[in-house]
Amino acid sequence: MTQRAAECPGCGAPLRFAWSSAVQTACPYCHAIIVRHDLDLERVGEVADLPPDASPIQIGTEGQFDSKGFLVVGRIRYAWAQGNWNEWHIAFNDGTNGWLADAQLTYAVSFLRPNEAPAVDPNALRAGQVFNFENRSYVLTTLTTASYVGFEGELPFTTAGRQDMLFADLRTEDAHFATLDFSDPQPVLYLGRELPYEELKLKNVRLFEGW
Amino acid sequence: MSGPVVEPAVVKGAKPITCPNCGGTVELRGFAHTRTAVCIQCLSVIDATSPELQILARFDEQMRARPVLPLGTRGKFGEVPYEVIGFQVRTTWSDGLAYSWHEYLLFNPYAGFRYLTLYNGHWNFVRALAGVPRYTIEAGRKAAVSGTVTYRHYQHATATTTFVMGEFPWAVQAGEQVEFDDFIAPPRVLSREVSAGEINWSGGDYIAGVDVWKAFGLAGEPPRVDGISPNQPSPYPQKVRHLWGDFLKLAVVWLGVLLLFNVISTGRQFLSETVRMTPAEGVAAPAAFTGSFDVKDTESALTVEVKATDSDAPALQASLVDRSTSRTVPLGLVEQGQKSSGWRDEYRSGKLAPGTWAVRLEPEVNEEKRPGAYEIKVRREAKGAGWVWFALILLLIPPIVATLQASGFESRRWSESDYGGGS
Repeated sequence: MTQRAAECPGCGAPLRFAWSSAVQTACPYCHAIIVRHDLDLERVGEVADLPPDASPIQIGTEGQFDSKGFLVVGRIRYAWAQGNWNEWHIAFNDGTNGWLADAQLTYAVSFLRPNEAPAVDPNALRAGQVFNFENRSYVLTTLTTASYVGFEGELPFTTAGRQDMLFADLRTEDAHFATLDFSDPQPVLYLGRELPYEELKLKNVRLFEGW
Repeated sequence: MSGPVVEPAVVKGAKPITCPNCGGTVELRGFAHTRTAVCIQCLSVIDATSPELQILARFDEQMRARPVLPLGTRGKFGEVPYEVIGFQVRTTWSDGLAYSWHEYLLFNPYAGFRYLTLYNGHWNFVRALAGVPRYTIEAGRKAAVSGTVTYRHYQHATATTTFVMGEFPWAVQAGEQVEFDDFIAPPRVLSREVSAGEINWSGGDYIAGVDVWKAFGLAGEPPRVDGISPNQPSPYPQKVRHLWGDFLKLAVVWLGVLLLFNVISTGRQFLSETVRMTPAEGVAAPAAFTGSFDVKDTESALTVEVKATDSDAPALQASLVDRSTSRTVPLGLVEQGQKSSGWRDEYRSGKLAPGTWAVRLEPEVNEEKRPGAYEIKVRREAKGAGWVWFALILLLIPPIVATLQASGFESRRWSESDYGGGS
């Protein structure tokens, strides 16, 4: 993993990228939202502080998935009617990236599957519908209308202009997990697996008072 | 991995809130996960997510129940410590009767949420399922498959939340109803809950009250167990297996005894001889005698076999003669057989004293005109071993009783299900 140094276009502070392909990051000093266009960095706004949460994960947490080590480099926070959840952006040693979702302390790791999303009308989706992805049968379990709360760290895309969006969560019989993300006009598919906390072998997690 | 060195941040516990209704202090244990908290004094359900602390509902004081696991207690399950942070009573009505159970919400800031359920002294350790079970049919009934296990449908019912205490990561409503289905594969249970269009599957493992008490380090005795719970492991299958195993072992021993006994008490042949009877011209053949044989110990029930190799051979009457006293002892005819190649009579003696004996053969009156050749055999039959078989039947009783008990346990298990024979 390369650590490319650059200067914040807002305050001139040095910026380090933990993941070389990051498209958006936040300046830890002036809280500017910075979007990268090839070599140019553009300041597009200012991050708001994320409301407090109780996730044990933070930027810099390390873990393992399928025996590959990863580092948490960013996150997006979403809110829905019954609470909120985090999508932690994780970077693997080999330069690939994925997502570690943490919703009420249930954890799922998933990966973008470019161009594999089915052409479905989000309004026609219903719980119980079955989809086949990569030879597995997924049942649609929940449709969640979420709102974008904020982000921190490095992301593989820009979150500019995000507001309400629809997510369809699907599961297999054996804990495989799929998300259809309708944030953009073209739905995007993520495939992965839910797994218990201890299997992630997380290090650099937050500590909890009294625990 | 060359990530930045991170000093772990410490998440501070949430400050207690003040009940907007009665001013009581409501402690919070679930950090930012807690969405609703219940005031222990006035049973107000408070929205803990906003500073306004809106009261969402209030439970009836009459419904107040006492948790047997106090809020704030910690217990270890598989090396992971969990704290009891919530308690609710759920009730289902069937034929006008209310059935209530306890649900304890357990929290660990890393591993997440688990539940302990308590009904009639029976406990289950429950977690949300990561996968979605698949439906199937097992023995003509609805069933669900999760992993490699098939769970049989037990019941469909509606549960109403009748009392809550503590705090929850969801919005608690008074009288909230869920429809649920239980599927069992003892000691496991799968539950499918539907509320407000959302479907949640969970999986539970039966756990003994003493193990719950041990996990939490509680003093005293857990609540008394009453009846059989749907996914309670039956104590009988193991017992049945053991008893049938014991039976098989004993049966092998008895078989050995039987064989040994047969070797010792084999039959013995005292005499085997061919006797020819030839009538003189027009005159009946006289009675004939076989050679003599010695009986050393008192014998009872010797078998005397008279076999004619020609079916036309005249019929005979056989008896035994004590050679030393010439006393004749009648024989009882026990079997008669007729074949194209001859006939066969079998006699049985009474008790015989030691001595020298012979078989006396006398032609029947109206059969005297023809000659005949007869094979005569005197032997002692191997002793019957009926008592050994009787012993085997006695040995069968314990495994059969246990098998019946096992099936009785299963009937009782299912008696309160949707498929029960009774009410």
